[in-house]
Amino acid sequence: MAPTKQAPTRQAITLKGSTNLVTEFFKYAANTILFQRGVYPADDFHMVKKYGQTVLVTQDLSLENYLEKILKQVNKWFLTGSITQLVLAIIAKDSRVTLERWVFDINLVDPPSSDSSEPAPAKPESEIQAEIRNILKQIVSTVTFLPVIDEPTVFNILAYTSESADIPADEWVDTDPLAIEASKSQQVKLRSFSTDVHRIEAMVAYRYEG
Amino acid sequence: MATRTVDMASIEQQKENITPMPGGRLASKLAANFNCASKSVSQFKQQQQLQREQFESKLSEVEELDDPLEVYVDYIKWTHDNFPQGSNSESGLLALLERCTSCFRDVLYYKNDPRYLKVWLEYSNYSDSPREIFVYLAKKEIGNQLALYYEEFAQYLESAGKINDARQVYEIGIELNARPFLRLEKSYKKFEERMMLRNNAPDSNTSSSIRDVLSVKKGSNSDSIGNENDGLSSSRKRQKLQVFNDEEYEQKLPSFKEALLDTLGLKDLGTIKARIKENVLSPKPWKGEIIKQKTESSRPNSSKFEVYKDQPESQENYEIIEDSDNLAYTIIHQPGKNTEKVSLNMKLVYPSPEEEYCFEEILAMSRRFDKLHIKNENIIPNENFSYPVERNQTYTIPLKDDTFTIPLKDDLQDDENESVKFKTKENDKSPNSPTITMYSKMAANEVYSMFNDAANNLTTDDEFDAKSEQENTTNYDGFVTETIRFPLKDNQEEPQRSKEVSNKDIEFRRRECEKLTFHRASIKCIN
Repeated sequence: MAPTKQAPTRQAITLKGSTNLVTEFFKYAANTILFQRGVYPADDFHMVKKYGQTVLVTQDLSLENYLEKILKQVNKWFLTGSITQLVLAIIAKDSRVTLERWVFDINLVDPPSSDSSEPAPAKPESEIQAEIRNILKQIVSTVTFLPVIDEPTVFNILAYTSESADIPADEWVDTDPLAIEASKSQQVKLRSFSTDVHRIEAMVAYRYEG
Repeated sequence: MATRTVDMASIEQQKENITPMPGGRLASKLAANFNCASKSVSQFKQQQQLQREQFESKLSEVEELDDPLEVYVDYIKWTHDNFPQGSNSESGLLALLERCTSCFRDVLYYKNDPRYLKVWLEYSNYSDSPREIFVYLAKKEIGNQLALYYEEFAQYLESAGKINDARQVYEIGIELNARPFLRLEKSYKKFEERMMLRNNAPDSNTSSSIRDVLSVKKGSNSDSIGNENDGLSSSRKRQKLQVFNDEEYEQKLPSFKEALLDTLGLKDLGTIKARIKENVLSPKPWKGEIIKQKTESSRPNSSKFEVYKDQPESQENYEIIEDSDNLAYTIIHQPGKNTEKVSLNMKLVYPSPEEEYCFEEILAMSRRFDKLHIKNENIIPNENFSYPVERNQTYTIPLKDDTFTIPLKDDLQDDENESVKFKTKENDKSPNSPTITMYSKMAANEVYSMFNDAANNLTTDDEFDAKSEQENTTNYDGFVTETIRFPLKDNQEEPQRSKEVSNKDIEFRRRECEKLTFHRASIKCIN
């Protein structure tokens, strides 16, 4: 009985750890996207060492608080396992047209089958960090094919949760998916990273008008 | 929709070979091309050649088409898609742009076609004097009804620092009611806002010259480079030849309005090839010419800059060597640096890339006291604690077979009975295992209490009053960890002497210290 008793406790700890890791990743990924895509002026960002590289993080207090608030809620959803997708949509300010959708699919890693007595060895954090670093690098290198945005834009964060998720009504509202018309949309899959509990797959969809 | 998703991995290898385009690129096309090229280069080239020939044959019958410009636009687009690296001799993009622009420059119905203007604008990016192109367009009345023309021209002038000219350009555009008029007005308003900000900013020069990070560079290359180098030119190495700079011409350059009115001076732009004619060697007889031989240079071909490569994780660049005295030392190899020899065993300090231990921890671990050590670390020493409260806490001290030595206080030496050597094993020889040292006051206190209680019970004369006890517990500065061999006689006047330790013990401790400070690394983990 001893191993079966031990397993859930370990799982509970890693779920929390993994959740924190993933939410932290979202914070830096969102900041990187907002900087690279020029949603906020470049002087609003300052350099921070993270994941063994330099990441630009906003200094704008209101934006910081906004992200913080969202990520707090996302963190809660993570712990209940009710979040399936997180989308950062970049929208033209005037025309309200969605220009880019940065999609992060959140999957739970299948727990190892009960037949195997040996639990999978924990993934070293350095490996996870390297994977995260690669995603952030890819976000940067998308400038090679993404259209230049020369109009003012705003951004919106969409969370796809399960039906049962507990949603604070005053902060989150049901909304349009802000999708890009299929005929004009181009999708590029970015790398993914996984912890022992979560697997995050990143993708960017953008509007291309030839 | 799902089928259109492209994997970034197929593009990433080539990301440096893609020229960013203002309108972006089709990721699906990029990936498809890179995939084809990676499979079979010759086949891919053949296919491209075939497609190119198709376009060329279409162009040859351009006179019969309803919309000849469309062929060109498609051709240019095809070139963009197939040659993401941009303009080079292989893609022939520049020549194509030139052909297109010169083909329709006098065609009336294309003069205000945005597609045609866009071709011109792209062409201007490759020119070393975009201003001339803009002026030429104005004179030819190409795009003079289009807001795009005025926006681009003004933006170019603005980036070149010619604010007044830029303003004039906007004004002319608005005057001529260029379409879409609303957008032009908006751009003009934004321009004015920028100018307001610039005037208010304390150092307008520096802020304006900073380009947006990773944005597409627009306008003339020569201009921005020229501006940046003005201050630096003197510090740069001496130029090999003097480049003639026509300053008078620059000064005489008429403003936009004047240039526009001066329709008499309309001359052909000529091709870029013609402009750089000085760069082309004219053919001449080979007789008497010396062909430079490729000589094997003595020094190895060192690349001018290092190509960045992702480091594989956890690379061990040191080796552990044990010398004749059984002491380990580490040889550290670092590329580009001298090899270092460190007198410690790195394997113990960094057992794995994630872990790191300090020497004390290693020492503790080697003696299996790590648990105790960690426990004690968490306790904050408090000068004013009261004794009874302390007592409630329990400490686990693994005694095992080790000799345990209790530190003693100077003040206690008055009483002979109280200096006692505490041993778990009656053994008169100097201990094989080293002395344990308690680092925290609390732990020491606890041991005192145990010790003093025992002493209390043992002594027949009960002189142990509360006062002396109080002293014991609070005053810890003289924390002595020596093993007291035996109570000293007649030392009531001289408490200092009680510190005396047998020579043997001192010797032992000295050796121990040496080990700790110099050859800690030679400690082998007992596990």
